[in-house]
Amino acid sequence: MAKSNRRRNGNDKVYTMAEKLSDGLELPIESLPGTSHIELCGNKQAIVGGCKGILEYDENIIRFNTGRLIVRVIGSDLCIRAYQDEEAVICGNIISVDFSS
Amino acid sequence: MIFFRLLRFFFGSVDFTACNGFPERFINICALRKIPLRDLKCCNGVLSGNTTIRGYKEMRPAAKKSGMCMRIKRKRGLPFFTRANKKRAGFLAGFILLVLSVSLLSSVIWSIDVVGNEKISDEEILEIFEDLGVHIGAAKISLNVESILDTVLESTDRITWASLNIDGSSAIIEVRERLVPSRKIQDEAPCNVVASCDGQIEILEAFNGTAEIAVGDGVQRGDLLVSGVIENKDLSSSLCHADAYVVAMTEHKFIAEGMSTRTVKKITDEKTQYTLCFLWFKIPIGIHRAQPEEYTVYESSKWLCANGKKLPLGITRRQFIRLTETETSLSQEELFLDTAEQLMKASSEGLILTEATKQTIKTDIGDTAIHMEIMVNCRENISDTAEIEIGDISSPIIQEQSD
Repeated sequence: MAKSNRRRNGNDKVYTMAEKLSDGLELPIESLPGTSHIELCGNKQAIVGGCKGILEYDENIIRFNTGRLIVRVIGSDLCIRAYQDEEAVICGNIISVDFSS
Repeated sequence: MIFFRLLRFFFGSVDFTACNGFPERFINICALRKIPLRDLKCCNGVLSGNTTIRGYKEMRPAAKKSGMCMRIKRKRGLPFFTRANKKRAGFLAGFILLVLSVSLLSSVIWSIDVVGNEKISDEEILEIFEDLGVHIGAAKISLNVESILDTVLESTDRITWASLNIDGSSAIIEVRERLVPSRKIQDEAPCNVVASCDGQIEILEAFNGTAEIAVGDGVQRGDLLVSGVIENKDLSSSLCHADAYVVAMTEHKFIAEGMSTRTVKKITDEKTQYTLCFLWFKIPIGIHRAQPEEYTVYESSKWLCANGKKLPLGITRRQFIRLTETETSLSQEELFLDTAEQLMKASSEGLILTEATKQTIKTDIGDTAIHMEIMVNCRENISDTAEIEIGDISSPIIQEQSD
């Protein structure tokens, strides 16, 4: 049932193919196109790869669009240290990171 | 991180603020156009950040599209500095002078250290190397280390090994001196035991060899005490390394004389000259006049040091001293003490490893002179080895016997 639901959405079809490829060829999933990658260093720094755009930007909340998911980073004194080539480095006091579709 | 800061400094960067409009749209448009954005902060709708000079110029249309009003907060970096000081030639000249000075100073030798020498003084070694071009201020590139070391080893036989290491702007000369071994009679070589000084034998123990004297005999210096020639049972002779412990009662005499008036050298004139030294430049400080030859010259140098390394900047001090001989007279007490000190010193140096049994001191005090002598009776080991010289078989004496 879960597999047939995924196939209905056009975007999900690509992601499912990436999952299949990474499982079959034992490749790291982040090396495949269309996947986002988030790296947290404690609660002071987060590196977001595969960032398609910024939806909301404030010193307490930053929302990213990573394609399939929307990542929301909540904290205080948040700043984007660098943003280039679909990669963003967020610094500040990070309280939570959540995902929504 | 410091690397990126240096890059930002050399290529320049701009701190900007943008208000009103839509900050998120502005950031997305900049990201799409590959405009680098750094240190972005958004507070109450006011966006502040940093970008490159080119990036700022390309950012203007993006700001216009997103309705943002941009302002430059600060310009940083070398391009802005050079543009502001374009007409000031002094900066450029100073920078060029700095580069030339650094490159020139780093290509010459600042200091030379000598290690490994014990008997040969530093000045002698530095003089040898100075003749071959190794001196303060010499260009490093002009030194052919291998040929210099070969020449040094050929020029003097007191050095067996030498090395010249140039570490930055310091040159380190390491040498190993030739050791001349003292002549020592081998333990197996045939030898006699002879007396090292006159005396009367008290103890005689011959460990090896044939004793030629007995206890109680008087001997003179050089007399044979124990012979290294052994007579075998078949009446043949063989040589051995004679060894013995011979203790004799000896007598030593030491004399010291002193005069109440004596000639001493006193400093009558002293002049000092200072010279500032920097590499091969010597700048005199003050007026330097040539001094007569009768003056004795003492020269010393002090160099600046930083982190244990000697810098090529220092001061040389030359002291010109004139010594004049004058006659001084000592009091009776001073003369007595001085002469007694000389006598004690002579006796202690002459009587090493001896047991003094009796000493007699005789003093003859005159008006202007004093004569002191000490006679010491002591007990000491007077055994000394003398090598037996073995003759050649073709010597005339042996040939006569065979005839």
